[in-house]
Amino acid sequence: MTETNPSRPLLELCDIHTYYGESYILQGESLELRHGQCLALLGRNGAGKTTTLRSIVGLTPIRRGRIAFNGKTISDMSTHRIIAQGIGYVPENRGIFGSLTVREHIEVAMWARGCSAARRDQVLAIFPRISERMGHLGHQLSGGEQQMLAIARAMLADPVLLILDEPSEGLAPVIVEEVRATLARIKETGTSILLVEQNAAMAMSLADTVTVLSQGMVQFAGTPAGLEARADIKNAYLGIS
Amino acid sequence: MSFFLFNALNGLQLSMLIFLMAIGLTIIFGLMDTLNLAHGAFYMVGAYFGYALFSTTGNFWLALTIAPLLPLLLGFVLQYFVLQPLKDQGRSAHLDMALLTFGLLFFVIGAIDLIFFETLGLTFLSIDKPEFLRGAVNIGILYPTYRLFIIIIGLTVALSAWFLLERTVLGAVVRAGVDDNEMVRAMGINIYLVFALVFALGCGLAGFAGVVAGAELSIDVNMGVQILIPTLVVVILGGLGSVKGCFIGAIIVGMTDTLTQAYLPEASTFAIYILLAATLIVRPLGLFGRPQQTI
Repeated sequence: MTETNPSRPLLELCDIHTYYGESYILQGESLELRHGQCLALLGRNGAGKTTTLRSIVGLTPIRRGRIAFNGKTISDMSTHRIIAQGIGYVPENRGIFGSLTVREHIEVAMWARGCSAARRDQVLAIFPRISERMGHLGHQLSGGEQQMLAIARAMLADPVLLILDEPSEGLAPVIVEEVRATLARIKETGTSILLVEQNAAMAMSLADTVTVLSQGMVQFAGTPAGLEARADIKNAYLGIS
Repeated sequence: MSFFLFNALNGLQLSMLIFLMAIGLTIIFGLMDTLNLAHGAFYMVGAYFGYALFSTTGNFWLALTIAPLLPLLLGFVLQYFVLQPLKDQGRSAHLDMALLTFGLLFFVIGAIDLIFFETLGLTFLSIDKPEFLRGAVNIGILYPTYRLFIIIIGLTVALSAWFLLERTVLGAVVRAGVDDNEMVRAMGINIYLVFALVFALGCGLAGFAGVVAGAELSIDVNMGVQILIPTLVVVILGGLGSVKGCFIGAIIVGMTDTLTQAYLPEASTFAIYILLAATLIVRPLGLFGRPQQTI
């Protein structure tokens, strides 16, 4: 695991501006995530949540501002170097390769980050169903299994920070609960989590802090209890009362 | 019957030669979405460098093993220092890449012409086969030993490529990259290095094919363009990025070309293009092509 300094924020986004071509998506967003905590990033579709995550991992580089991880600026790094700082990333569509078996997904992730067999066994113990599907191709897995595989793959490198983009999307309620329980267990191990979710109830049950985005700008930053008390924010930016 | 067998083996020999070229091109296209029309140039560079090595040392095997290293190195440099930076600048449309690499092909043709013809006065060249690969063997018919050698080389490369891609972690990374190279980056893999290595390996194989061909066909400045056309047909026919498709496509194209020349010579100039057109109409993604497989 990457060396950490708990006295400063693990992840800092300072006034970041991100574009898709000429479309201005993130308009001066700032946020902080502290060690061992879970930050839920909420907002309606198109608020800039996915773009925030993509900007952090360098897939959609920022044009202005600064992103620091563990005190080190990462916004000028390429994606593979950012990930190597100790970040695990689970994208919105899960990023499962249809032509690779589950075993190959695990092997590629181990190779990418120099993961040991002991760490693999440790991670697979958290995801027993994945172990039973080793010979299956990615496209043969159910949505829940794909999500578990995507999380397991990201966890293999023992990341300091796990970033997840809508892990409950398209899953049955019973599977959503399974994903939530898995994330809670991961959080208990000390791994920080940055979670983008449409399912606000699930996100708030895991989160220590909540940030609400709209049009690429932060509209609220505080605790889940603080957000609960702000009916205006919930109504205007999350569509819940 | 012996006439058919002779031509079928000739078809297989041509298929293997085209396969050696097409395997690199199809993986490069499938993985990087790069239309590398300079692939023919690497074939030429391999053949000419192989000739230079052979004429200096008289050793066929040295030429066969060392000469592909030059196109391999040039391929790495081209991808890592030219094509990738252009892609990063957003200049990666198929037309940009096609124009650039096609221009590079003609630059190499011009450079080789300048060195070998204008300066050294050499035109049609050939690499001598080793003694034991000359002549013919009896396999029911008398068949040239060197052509059998080409068939064996092609089958060995096909098997090795299958093993590398299907049974190794590096192969799984390449297949993952064909499915979704953004996700490969997000797993912490330096995809640009993987791209450059795969590109280099493809160019090295093209150079290898050039040396192999240089002992059977003549080495001349048109060889890169001549081989590029059936190679592109194979890549499209088999499906971009598919090794299995490339192998089967190469056999179909090599056999069609050779057998039409033997049995229906008036159709031989356009037979493979009819195949290509029919494939594009019935299966636009090629025989084994598939859309991106990320879920």
